[in-house]
Amino acid sequence: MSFLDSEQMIIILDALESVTNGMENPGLLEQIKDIPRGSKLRPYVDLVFALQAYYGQNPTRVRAYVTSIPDGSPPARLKPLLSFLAGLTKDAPEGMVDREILKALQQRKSYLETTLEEAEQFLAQNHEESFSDSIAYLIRELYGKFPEPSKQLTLWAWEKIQEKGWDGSLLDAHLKMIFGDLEATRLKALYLLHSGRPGAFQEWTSFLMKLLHTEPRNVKTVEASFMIWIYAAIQEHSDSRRLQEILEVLVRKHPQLKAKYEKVLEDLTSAERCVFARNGSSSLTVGRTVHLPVSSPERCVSPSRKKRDFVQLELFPS
Amino acid sequence: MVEQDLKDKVLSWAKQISIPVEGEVEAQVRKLLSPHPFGSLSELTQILKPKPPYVGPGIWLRAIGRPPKGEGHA
Repeated sequence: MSFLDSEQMIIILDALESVTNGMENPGLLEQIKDIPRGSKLRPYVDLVFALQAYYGQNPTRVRAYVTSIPDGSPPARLKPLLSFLAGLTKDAPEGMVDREILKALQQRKSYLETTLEEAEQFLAQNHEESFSDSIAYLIRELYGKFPEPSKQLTLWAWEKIQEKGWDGSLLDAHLKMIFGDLEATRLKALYLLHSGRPGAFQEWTSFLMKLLHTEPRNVKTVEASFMIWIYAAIQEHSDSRRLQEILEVLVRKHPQLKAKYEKVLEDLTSAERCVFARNGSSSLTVGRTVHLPVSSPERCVSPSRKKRDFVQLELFPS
Repeated sequence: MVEQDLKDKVLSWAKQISIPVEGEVEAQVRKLLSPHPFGSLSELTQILKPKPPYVGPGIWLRAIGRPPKGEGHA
């Protein structure tokens, strides 16, 4: 008896039947999932899981299983078609069987695809209100089942709004309804951080401030947010008043972070004070202010012990 | 995007200035800086497509040169 007629192969075929007829059988999938890589049956198992991923609309998993199928094995004949169906390649394979399957799978556009097309039209026609409404609708619809893509779409929408120079307040209001104030603020700040556009520090400050006022909070989350906040501060030109506000709340609520970040904050603050002094401006918005080489003549002279103590008193009020 | 990922940028910056980053804090940094923006909207259109119709096993099996059950398979 050849391996293709073995009992294991029958189970694999039953599993394939279950994923392609809409009555997926987890028990069968469980039985075949551990068939080893070296087995001649393994390409058939990978095909079953690639089909399962296709029906589950998970292109990443389709790619993983399709890649595992060795070229030359019978299931490899479906690799180009599955890659195309999952959106991993652009051109449909031309084989007769491929065309037959494509015809059988032909589908109409979903209402969500239509909504996205409409949103893109509103964008092209410069209708901010309609664009914001359509995108927010899509984000809301996606959020339950696909939380990550819905947030990726949010970042995309912010990018488009920024490119158009729109106000964005309507989208902002929608997003706060969908994600809540804290998460909506994080996503807006995240977009700005990713894009490298000005305003990231200000937005992340708003996020951190909201986070610090939301109880209870995991201290590791606060620390990570705080670290990103310092990163944003040195990338951008921070406002000393915003620094102060955050530090006051932080030291009151999470004094344990004080020791860990004392040195970084001292450097950050003294470097900014240096620029502040050089420019004589009330805001710290001129030039990159930190990480000047120690030997640089531009570097601020180290504050005296007394001066450092003064800075610390301001940073960490008791 | 070929550019270094934002999460890695922040973490390598922290390392560069000698901030000790514990595993759990690193995980939180990664979580807070996620997700990454879409490279292209085509990633989304795949998700928006309606679930494909179930066409049964026969068509797939024929494609790999395997007769469906009942056609030569016990």
